[in-house]
Amino acid sequence: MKRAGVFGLLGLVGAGVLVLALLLGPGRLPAGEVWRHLVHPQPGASGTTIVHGLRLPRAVSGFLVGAALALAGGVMQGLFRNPLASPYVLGVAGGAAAGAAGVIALGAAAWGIPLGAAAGAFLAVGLAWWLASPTRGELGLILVGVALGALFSSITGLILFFTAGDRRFQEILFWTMGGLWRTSGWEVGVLAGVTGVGAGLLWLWGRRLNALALGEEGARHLGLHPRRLRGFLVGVATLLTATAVAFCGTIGFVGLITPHLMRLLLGPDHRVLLPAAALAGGVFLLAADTLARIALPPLELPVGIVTGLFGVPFFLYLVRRRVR
Amino acid sequence: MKVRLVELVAGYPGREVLAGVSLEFRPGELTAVVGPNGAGKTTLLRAISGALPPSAGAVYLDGKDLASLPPKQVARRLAMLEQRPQLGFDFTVRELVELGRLPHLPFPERLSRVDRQVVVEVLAEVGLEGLAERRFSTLSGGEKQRAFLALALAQRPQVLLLDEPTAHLDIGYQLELMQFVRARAEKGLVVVLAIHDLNLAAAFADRLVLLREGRVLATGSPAQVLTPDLVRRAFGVEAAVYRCPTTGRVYLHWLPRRPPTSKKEGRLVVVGGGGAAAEILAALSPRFQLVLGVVCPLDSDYQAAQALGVEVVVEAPFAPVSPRALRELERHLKASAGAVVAPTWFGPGNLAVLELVAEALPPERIFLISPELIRERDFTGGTAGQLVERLLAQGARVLTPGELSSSAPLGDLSSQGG
Repeated sequence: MKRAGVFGLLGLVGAGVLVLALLLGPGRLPAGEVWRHLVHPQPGASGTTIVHGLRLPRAVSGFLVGAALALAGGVMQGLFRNPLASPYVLGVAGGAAAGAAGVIALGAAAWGIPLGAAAGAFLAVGLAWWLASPTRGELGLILVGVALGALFSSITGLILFFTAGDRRFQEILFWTMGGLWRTSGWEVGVLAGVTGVGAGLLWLWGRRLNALALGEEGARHLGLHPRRLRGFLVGVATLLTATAVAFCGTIGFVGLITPHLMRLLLGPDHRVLLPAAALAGGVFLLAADTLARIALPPLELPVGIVTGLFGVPFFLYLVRRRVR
Repeated sequence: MKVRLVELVAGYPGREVLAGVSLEFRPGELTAVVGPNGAGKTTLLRAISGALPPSAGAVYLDGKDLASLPPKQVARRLAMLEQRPQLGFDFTVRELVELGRLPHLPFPERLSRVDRQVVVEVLAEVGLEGLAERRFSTLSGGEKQRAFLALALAQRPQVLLLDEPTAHLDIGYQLELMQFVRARAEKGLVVVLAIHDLNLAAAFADRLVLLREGRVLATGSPAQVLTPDLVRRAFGVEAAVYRCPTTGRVYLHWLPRRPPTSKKEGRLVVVGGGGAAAEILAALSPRFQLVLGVVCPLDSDYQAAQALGVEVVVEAPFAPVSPRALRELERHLKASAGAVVAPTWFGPGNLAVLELVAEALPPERIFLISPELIRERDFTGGTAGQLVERLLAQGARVLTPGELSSSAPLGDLSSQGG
């Protein structure tokens, strides 16, 4: 009952936000026009370009990035048995930022930036996994991840220092704030593919992820290979996070808040929690991005700022309510 | 399913805990693993469960080496309730117990009707049927324990391992849990549990395994393992062992720790019977090697001697002391530094014991406890009383019960005889 209610509500809100995302924007287009161009695109017409070339891909990618980050956050929280874990806990954000900053500093082509970010993200997580391998349990991994995140932040800081006063400096800074302005076709395709595959895998592995709540020993007593399982799940979460970050920079709090909130509402069963978190994350980021686009026209705020501004107070409210 | 351990060595990096353990566990048997902290109880269970790979030796499940079986295969046969089971998130009781079906399910682990039925059954078995939809955090301590037990049972294991399952439970839950696992064993499961409470172990287990420093110090029935000597060697404490007249099972009672000198100061014969000697035995046994004589097995002094591990010269119930018993007592008297005569009852049947003591030992090595009581308890028509008078006149010494625990009056015996 409660589940159906939560999913139904998320669906309704999502549909409403999607309509707003298509209707609102700096290029003033009446509702009827939006609908006409959406259903009957006319190549070359400016309305079609706005709807099909800008607003729709942007809305879809906003939803997908939010979903991917929420899924990754939900998995990390499940793996580390800690409701305060985020998709970035193993240093993904730091690694991606350093990778992107490096590519920008070297003056590579624009398409190189997502590649550099993804490479940095995987490098950071791979290093964390390798360095933490002699330690048992999840605590070693989380500590190494946090430490590596700090290391990569310093590298990014170093790159920023040497590009100071440069056009590249601004580009790096802008990238790290996170935004959904890259929304062309193939990028949406990659995002959709990775998010879909990741969501499917995580749903299939949901019950095993549940078993990890029993700890390394408890999971082993149920016949699982906790280490192998954790490695696989970290891999899937990293793929999701790295893809999202590669295209949109580090957008905070979506991956932390939405799984946490869904757990409060629906309980910790990941086979229910993760789909709900994906939906909620998508809707949340779509709403935040729409707000970012229309709040201060003609300027466009980085969406990471909006999620932080709205996410943090809400998150603090949750934490305080939970501690009581 | 039979579980066999062969020369099992296991432990943690740089520290072996089990130093070669060979044991066998059979279906229908409840085995309690006991031993002091750090003896290796938890390590033993973890090694049997497969969670801790052995560094030498092996665990065999029905002849198959555990290390060669995939974990999932092991989990279908064997379930373990950890000492402090963890649950990272607040699942409902049903969601938790459903995890116990994982080893039986093919990927991606969708529950069948049979699996749901098993979950319902085990919840009923542990008495949580009404709480299936409750969140784990809302359960009481005892209910939490039973929820984890249900998780283990949902694996439908043939081997059930429990690490300190009664810790943190009140006595009601402790007994309930022990009865529960006892019933499981009787249904044909191999049940092995680690436990600190020796009396709980003795009351419910078919077999005890006493561990010390990673080795099996003793194994057998509770009566075979819980002897004063073994308990002292394992735990360094003094214990009296009794047999419960209602259940026939042994139980322990703790005695004051004996002085650090573990060497006995000498041998003493204690003449007693009818309960007159029990306290004397308890006071003297830490310091002296004692022989009690001559009593029958129905005598409460006999039971006190058994509990303290004191040797007894025995006579059949309601029979006069026989020449055989007297010869045996004489042998002990000759090897002893002295004799302590408890204020017991003397009659025609046992007067010979007092006469033998007077004959075999010089009077100054005979100690009479409250001799006035002996005269009161004289059923020999005055003969025993006269003998006591004569001994006193010849120099036998008198001790009050209070003087027994101080060493002074008996101290000079230490250097003699023995």
